[in-house]
Amino acid sequence: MKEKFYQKAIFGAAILIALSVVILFTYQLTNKSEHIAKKLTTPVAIEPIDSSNCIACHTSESIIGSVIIESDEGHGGEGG
Amino acid sequence: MYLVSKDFLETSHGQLGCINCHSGENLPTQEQAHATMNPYPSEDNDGVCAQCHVGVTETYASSIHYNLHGMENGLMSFASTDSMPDSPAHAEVFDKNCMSCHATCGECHVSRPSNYTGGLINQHEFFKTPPMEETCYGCHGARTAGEFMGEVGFSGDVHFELGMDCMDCHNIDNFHGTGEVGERMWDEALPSCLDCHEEEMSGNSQIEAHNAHGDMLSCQVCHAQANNNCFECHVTYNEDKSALKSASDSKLMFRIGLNPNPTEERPYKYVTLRHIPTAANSFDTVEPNMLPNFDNINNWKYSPTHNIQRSTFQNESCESCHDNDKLFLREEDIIESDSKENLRLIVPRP
Repeated sequence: MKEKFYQKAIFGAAILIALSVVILFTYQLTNKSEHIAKKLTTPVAIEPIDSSNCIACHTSESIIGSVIIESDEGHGGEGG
Repeated sequence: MYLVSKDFLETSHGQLGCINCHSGENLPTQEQAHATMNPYPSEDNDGVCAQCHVGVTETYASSIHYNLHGMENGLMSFASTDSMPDSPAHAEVFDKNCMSCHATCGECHVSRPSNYTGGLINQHEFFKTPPMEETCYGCHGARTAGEFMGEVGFSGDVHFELGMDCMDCHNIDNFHGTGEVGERMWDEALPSCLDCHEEEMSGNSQIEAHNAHGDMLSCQVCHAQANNNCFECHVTYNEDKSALKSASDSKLMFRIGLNPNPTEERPYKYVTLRHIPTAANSFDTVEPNMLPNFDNINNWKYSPTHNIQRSTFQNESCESCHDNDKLFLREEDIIESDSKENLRLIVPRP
């Protein structure tokens, strides 16, 4: 009788733990996406355009390393 | 070629894709991709930035950083011409020289001003608050920002040394405008030392010199150091005459003079002055005698010099200022090419 009670309690605890994990995991997923949405300060009303070729070139350090970068020269003029 | 950070692609701007702002085509060769590409999408103030930030871009159209009304009005006041369209020569000087200081959204928030070095600040990262060293300094480095940061002159400003930047004193309206078209910088709600140092107001201060001088002196008279003064600016065309370049001589000086234009905000009798480089013949390359009103407007100007220190050589003692004629604008400081109006700024000395 006592053993059956323990088996029920262990089963119940396992269910509770499993439920908690599911709830926490779901909450974390939901919360993360909300967090990203809140971080966006701009009301974006523009549909993204595929720019994969531009990105491939402009993020490739090997390509960038092979071209000459114009030197940065100059100073604040302020008219003078 | 500009390197774009992979982190940028995760941001709200990056997620839009390059083509949304820069146009061009998503094609594999550079020639094809760049055929219709616009490297400076924010040049059109009503363009791509306005699609999401319309409130800011509308206001920015009124800003003197955008329309350079301050420079336009300065030029026209020397010229005695009512408006720029009345004179093609003045319009040419304004368009080919003054307008090179005009700033777009991108030139503060993404890249350095093109008048400075251009180029992305940090791999296309958008800065809500632009970094002073890369943007403000880019245009104001020869004088105000350079002096503030200690790059020009002697010591930098004590506020800079304590970690402050331009935006800590100048509010957003000084950069983005208010929506009302300002005629000149002085019309804006500029910061005052007393905004933070209220306890130093004349009559309330623990420092006797503050109470003794009252509103007679601007704070800079006692607390600023020598500033960079430019002389004899002349413009010359570039090779294809698409731009007018300017060059002048510069000199570190400290001069106290009479306030050229006392106002409610700046009622001081004595202020620190700075020489602006304009000469009567500055624009003779374009057309002779373009500044007929030159002698009626002072070219030693009121200068709230941005290199403040608590202790300066002139505030060391009463004598170090009152007995030092060299601190004050004198007749010998007015050079031949200067406006005769400067003579009224000379402090009468015993």
